[in-house]
Amino acid sequence: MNLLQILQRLSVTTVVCCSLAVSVSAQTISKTFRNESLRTVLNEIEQQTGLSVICDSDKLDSHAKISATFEDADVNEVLDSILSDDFEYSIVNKMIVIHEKRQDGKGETDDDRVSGVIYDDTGAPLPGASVIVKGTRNGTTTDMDGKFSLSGVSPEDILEIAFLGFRTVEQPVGDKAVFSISLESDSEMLDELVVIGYGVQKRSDITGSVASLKTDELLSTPAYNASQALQGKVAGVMVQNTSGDPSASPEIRIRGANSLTYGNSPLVICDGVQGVGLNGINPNEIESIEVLKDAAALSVYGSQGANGVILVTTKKGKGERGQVHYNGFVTVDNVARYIPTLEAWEYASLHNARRIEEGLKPLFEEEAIAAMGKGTNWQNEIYRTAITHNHSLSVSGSKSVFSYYIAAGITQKQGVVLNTGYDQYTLRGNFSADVTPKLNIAMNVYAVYDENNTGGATTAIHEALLWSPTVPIYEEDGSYSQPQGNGIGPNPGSNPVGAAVEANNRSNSGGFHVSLSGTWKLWKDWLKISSQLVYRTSGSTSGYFDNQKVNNGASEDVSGGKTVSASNGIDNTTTLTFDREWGKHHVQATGVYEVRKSAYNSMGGSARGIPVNMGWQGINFGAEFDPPYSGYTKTAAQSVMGRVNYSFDDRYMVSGSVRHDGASQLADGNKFDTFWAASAGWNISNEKFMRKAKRVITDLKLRASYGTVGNAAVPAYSSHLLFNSSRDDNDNLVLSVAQAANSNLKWERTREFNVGIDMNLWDGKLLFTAEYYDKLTTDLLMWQKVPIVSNVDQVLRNVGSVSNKGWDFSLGGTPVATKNFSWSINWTLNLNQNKILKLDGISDRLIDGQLDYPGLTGSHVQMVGQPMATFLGFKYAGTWKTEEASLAAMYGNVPGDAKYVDINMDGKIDNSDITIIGNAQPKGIFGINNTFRWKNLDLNIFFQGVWGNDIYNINRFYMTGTLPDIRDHWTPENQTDYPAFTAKELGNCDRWVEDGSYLRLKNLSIGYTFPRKWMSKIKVSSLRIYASGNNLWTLTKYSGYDPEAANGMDASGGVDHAVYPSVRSFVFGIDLSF
Amino acid sequence: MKRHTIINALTVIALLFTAGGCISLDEDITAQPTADKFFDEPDDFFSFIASAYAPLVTFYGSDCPYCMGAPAEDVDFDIDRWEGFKTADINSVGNPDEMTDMAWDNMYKSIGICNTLIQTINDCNLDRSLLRAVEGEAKFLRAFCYFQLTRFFRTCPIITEENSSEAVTAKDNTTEEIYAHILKDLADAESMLPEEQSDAFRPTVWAAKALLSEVYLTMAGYPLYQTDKYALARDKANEIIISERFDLEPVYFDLWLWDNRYTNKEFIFTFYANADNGDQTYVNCAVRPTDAGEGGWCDWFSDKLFLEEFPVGDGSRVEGTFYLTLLDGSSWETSIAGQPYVGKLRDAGPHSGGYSGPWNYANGNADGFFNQYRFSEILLIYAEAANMAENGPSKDAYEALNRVRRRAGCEEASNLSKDEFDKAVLDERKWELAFENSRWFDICRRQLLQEVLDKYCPGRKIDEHNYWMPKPYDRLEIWTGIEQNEGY
Repeated sequence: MNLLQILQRLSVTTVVCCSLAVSVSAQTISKTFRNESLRTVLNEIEQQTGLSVICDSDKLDSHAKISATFEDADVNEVLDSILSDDFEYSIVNKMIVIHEKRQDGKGETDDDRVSGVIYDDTGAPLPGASVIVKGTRNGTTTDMDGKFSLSGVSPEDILEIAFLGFRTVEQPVGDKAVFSISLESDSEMLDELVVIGYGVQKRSDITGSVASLKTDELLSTPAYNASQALQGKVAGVMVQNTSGDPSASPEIRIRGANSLTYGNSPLVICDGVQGVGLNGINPNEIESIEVLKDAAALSVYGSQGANGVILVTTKKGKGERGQVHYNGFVTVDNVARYIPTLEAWEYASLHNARRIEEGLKPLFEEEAIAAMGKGTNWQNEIYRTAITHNHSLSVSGSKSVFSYYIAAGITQKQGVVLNTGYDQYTLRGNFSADVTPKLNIAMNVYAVYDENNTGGATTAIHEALLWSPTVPIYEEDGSYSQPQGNGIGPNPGSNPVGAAVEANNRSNSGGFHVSLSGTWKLWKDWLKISSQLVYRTSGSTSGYFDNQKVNNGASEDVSGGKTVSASNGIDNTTTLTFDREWGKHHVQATGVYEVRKSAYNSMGGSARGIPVNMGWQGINFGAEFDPPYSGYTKTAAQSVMGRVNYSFDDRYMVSGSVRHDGASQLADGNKFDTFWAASAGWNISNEKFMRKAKRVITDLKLRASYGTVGNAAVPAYSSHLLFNSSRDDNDNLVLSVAQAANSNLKWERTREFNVGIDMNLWDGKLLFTAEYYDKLTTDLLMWQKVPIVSNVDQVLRNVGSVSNKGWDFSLGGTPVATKNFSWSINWTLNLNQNKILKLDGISDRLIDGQLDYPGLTGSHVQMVGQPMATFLGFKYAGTWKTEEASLAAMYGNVPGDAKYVDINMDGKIDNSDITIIGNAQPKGIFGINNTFRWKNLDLNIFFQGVWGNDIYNINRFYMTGTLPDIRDHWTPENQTDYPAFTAKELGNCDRWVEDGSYLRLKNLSIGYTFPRKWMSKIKVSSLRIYASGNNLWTLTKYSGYDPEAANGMDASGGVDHAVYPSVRSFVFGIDLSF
Repeated sequence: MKRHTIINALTVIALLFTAGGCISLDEDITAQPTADKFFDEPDDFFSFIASAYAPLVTFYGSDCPYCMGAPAEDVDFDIDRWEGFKTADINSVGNPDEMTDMAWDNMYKSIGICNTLIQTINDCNLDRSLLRAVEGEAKFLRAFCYFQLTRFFRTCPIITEENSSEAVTAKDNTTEEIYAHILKDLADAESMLPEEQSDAFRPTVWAAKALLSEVYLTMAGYPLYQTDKYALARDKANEIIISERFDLEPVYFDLWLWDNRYTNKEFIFTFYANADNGDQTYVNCAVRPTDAGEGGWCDWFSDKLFLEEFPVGDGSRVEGTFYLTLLDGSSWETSIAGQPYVGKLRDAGPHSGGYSGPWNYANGNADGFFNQYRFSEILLIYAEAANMAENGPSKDAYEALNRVRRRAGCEEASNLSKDEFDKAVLDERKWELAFENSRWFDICRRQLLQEVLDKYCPGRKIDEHNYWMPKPYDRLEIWTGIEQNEGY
């Protein structure tokens, strides 16, 4: 059941209970009745209001005659005054339901009376469902507990039980007097239409790979934003929280990464507005999210579809009665895992021991060590418990031809690192009006504003891992302590606490878009033209300020800078849609013309010697100025698209689309390219021979597609020779070549083959989808290393090729649904095999700068035949032991030195012994989402994980001084595999490479929905409170902060270097509707 | 449907349509720094050649040139710190590209800029006479870079404005061809460069002569052994000496002070970093000790033995060369490296902490300066070349050598045979030019490596390949025409 249904049901409940108090509609009655029967009066009410009257029994005839005069009287007022005390009524679904008030002990014995309870498909009682004797006016609605009682029913009658969003049930009465009837949610009716690019399609007709996620699945775990809500819930969609930074947005990849250089993030389209950030969208405001995965679904987005498309549809106003919905939660966040470090006394003793072995004088006196204790735990000093708030509020409804949905959201996040935080404010308004029966005009407005403070987190986290516990935070004079030298770590470095607290890195940014769209029915419902005009703007101001305190430096070192940027754009999409069924034929044809224009401006300045009190706003008061920076780019895109979907008898479907796309940033002559796709599907379950199996196999569909999509995510002017300017010491202009020209720059192309099977078993108890895909990206945009020509040693060219092959599996449904208990699942699994087929065409190995540290250069590479982000290095084989002294000597080593595998067995360790020691791409990712409901309690357990990837844990490489592992260093007496203090070692080896697989209890939520009976008394239609925990438990061998967090993605992924640690959160929330 | 509704609907739709309308996909480059905006006046040429210095400043401001010459006596560095490359260490492991990439790339970056400039001059319609100085500057820098490339890597392809588009497949030129090209460029530079430049970083005709004299001196030794070049080296050095434009700075120590970088009379050609412009350098920090409140990286240092051998003289040159008493007053002997530290490269301006302040991590904005030719080297080139060319030391040769010795407070040389004089000059170069990327090349051109190692690293056997760096392995993949040096 989705939220919409819940809301509808809840609103009904409210009406049932509060009908006397709540004014439902503006329908009024004007009439004078003189001694009329109740039936006559009711008929008049029906005529004047358009409401239909359902009544309980013949007893209406026994009602006293009515004489009254009404002038523009509200229908409630009228009913209140005419109905005697024996009757009560409710207004539901444009129906006035009148029934006799029930008296204890009365009715059950009546021969013509039936009663019962109506349940929904989760087993919960369904209030407000209508129960009517078919073909008559005799009917009632179920009460708060889903119960009904109806008299005047004979055994031949058929009860018709209906509720919006559920399949109507016809129940022959027969001899039974008591009924227990479950309504099944009409998934076909609700899920019938799925949003696809530039239109909607019946789910059963879809031949491409489109995954759809409805509100309730999104909201099953509390989430700040839509990307977080998406994690683990759609097969083939990887959502990775690469940082615990409160402002960080999770990275999203659909079916692996294609591009080595530019853009692997999917295109997000919210209500037709392209290029929206998922992070700024509150999941509460979302009606559905559709993920387009294969070429058939994506080729309608041609140039922009290569990385997949996420279509977000926000809610529209529905229901005559306005609805207010509030969801809010507070979280308490802590660093999920601290990295254990040495205490001061032990650090000092080991340091002394090391120095003695190196032939140096020990630095710490024995008495001093004894008095040291634990010393400073730098991680404790920079991390804190953070409190975060998240509130969202919406009001929605519709009134005759006009509907509205207005929502506001506030998120105030504290970071777990001191002096970090992120606040976001969003506003949304969706308005729609049917100006005439043929013309609809809609306007959507969205605004987001955020304030981000990253402080000095990156430096602080890095330094906190390296600083010696023997160093105090502050000197005696209150200034920050500084590195002490003599190998007492680090050397040099910023004081971790100082770096966190004193650094000032702030930004605030805003985004706004407004779209105006009109849809005009040209020919019945068959031919429509619609046009959407979008204006979007965003701007940001960011600044930094480094005061002199951290390093106790001089005031002339105080520096600050500020950058202001603004982006503006206008898009227009015009769509002509033809949709008609003739008998068994169904044709949908769509034509699109689209243009997009964007301009980006930025400006920045920085200075040194700014008065300390002024911060970065005082750049102009500085002593030394850096040259100002100014940037400007302008891009345009133009597209024409055509698509035809044809289905025959709901059994056979074919679809084809062509899109011709142009992008300004490509070279002249290569600006335009054409993308196409073809697909076909077969609804086997609709074949005659499957009719018998229908009871088990509700739906069974096979589908296949093939097509192409492109990617042109290169910056503007990428094909031109560009210069850069700077100033020399004497303020003379220095001109340099910044970018080489490439007059052949063109689209990166991906072609994809997809086959899938969709199964719906036992009418929604299990929904199974399996898909196989094979994606090949060619003409990959890559920086090709070239012999240096005029300062430039690389040129952007279309040279590489990457393949992604894999499987998406998803299993959903509600396997168990009884009256009091239900279990719903959404399990997803993606197996992806990423492989680089060709690099820059020159070498089969490209070095990535991710591990560009002394001793590690060249260890993070892209290699032909391997997945992206391969680690190269020596294989560590422990230490040379004393008994191996003679063999060690052959390698120029002594016992205690690090031992490496002599791969080529040539008797020496050199470059030829470097081999593949890891890879950052996971082999599989999965999500296991389970929701259990028992009466009013609900429980959500969500596991998520990846396996098969490696992480280069560079922190451990640096933390040799502070990690407790060093206790176990090699000595002649203690022949361990941790090298001796004086050991000869090579930096780059698999000693620092760890398995990044993990299984994580991402979320555990327990919610309680208050019984409607209680809530109705306080005029609340629904109230749920919940408590939840995020990242509660992780099964992993990884020793760093978090196997999910990394410094990069895709080609630059798999490196953990002082990543902002992820948090464990406890969430307390409330969800309220009235 | 009522008529006015249709009109309304059409109006709305039409409005929406026209707002998007048709657009052009031609890129608007009016505000972009594309090629059409530049090179219509001589100033742009001077601005452009200025960018050729950044790669060289970066290179000389890094550890690379010093550590690549680490088998020389003056430089010692801890292989465990770098895991990198040690030319003469036969058991060397790790990735030599870490250093050689930088040498190769930065030289070719600078060459590429020179090539572009020369090509642009050839193509432009401006009065060529206004561009003579900048053309000379480009040819000087190009010659300088090829001279470093051939001394490090023996052979490499000569890429000029004529064949830059074929660099991918260009083949190695022979050492002879490279030197011939250097001489050709330097001949042009010498005729085009002015006697004075308003910007201190730009080469003058004297810089061209200084470079020429060292090129000749090198050609006279290994591997070309064109001994007739000694006379040419002597003559070029002499031209500088007799011009009397340069003189020895009275106090050796003052040469390495940042404040004097533009004013001293001894510098003939120097690279200047400008951190504000992104040319920040770090070697000043790399040579500082980590301990004693210094806050350096201690990447490399000098050698005890070298200090022992170093002639004390009046002590002034020792003080200007080494850094022996650390900030907290302690001696180098008790410090972490246990080796004497380098003094010459310490002062890289106030943002580096200066000569006598602690290095400041947060600043990291050092404005180093890296002298390439100074008058004392010219004197020593003259002395060496004259002695070799004239088969014995002349009075002028003695005077050249002794001018350098006198400043250091050392005993003057006299009554030496040709070989004794030659050794005295080579030794003097070793002391005078320590940590200036000089001694390693002396060792190479005079084939002294075995002799040096026998003393400093006994037991090391070398062969010819040890005189050359391996060409960067990863660059061999891009430059498909070149070949690795034998022995690697």
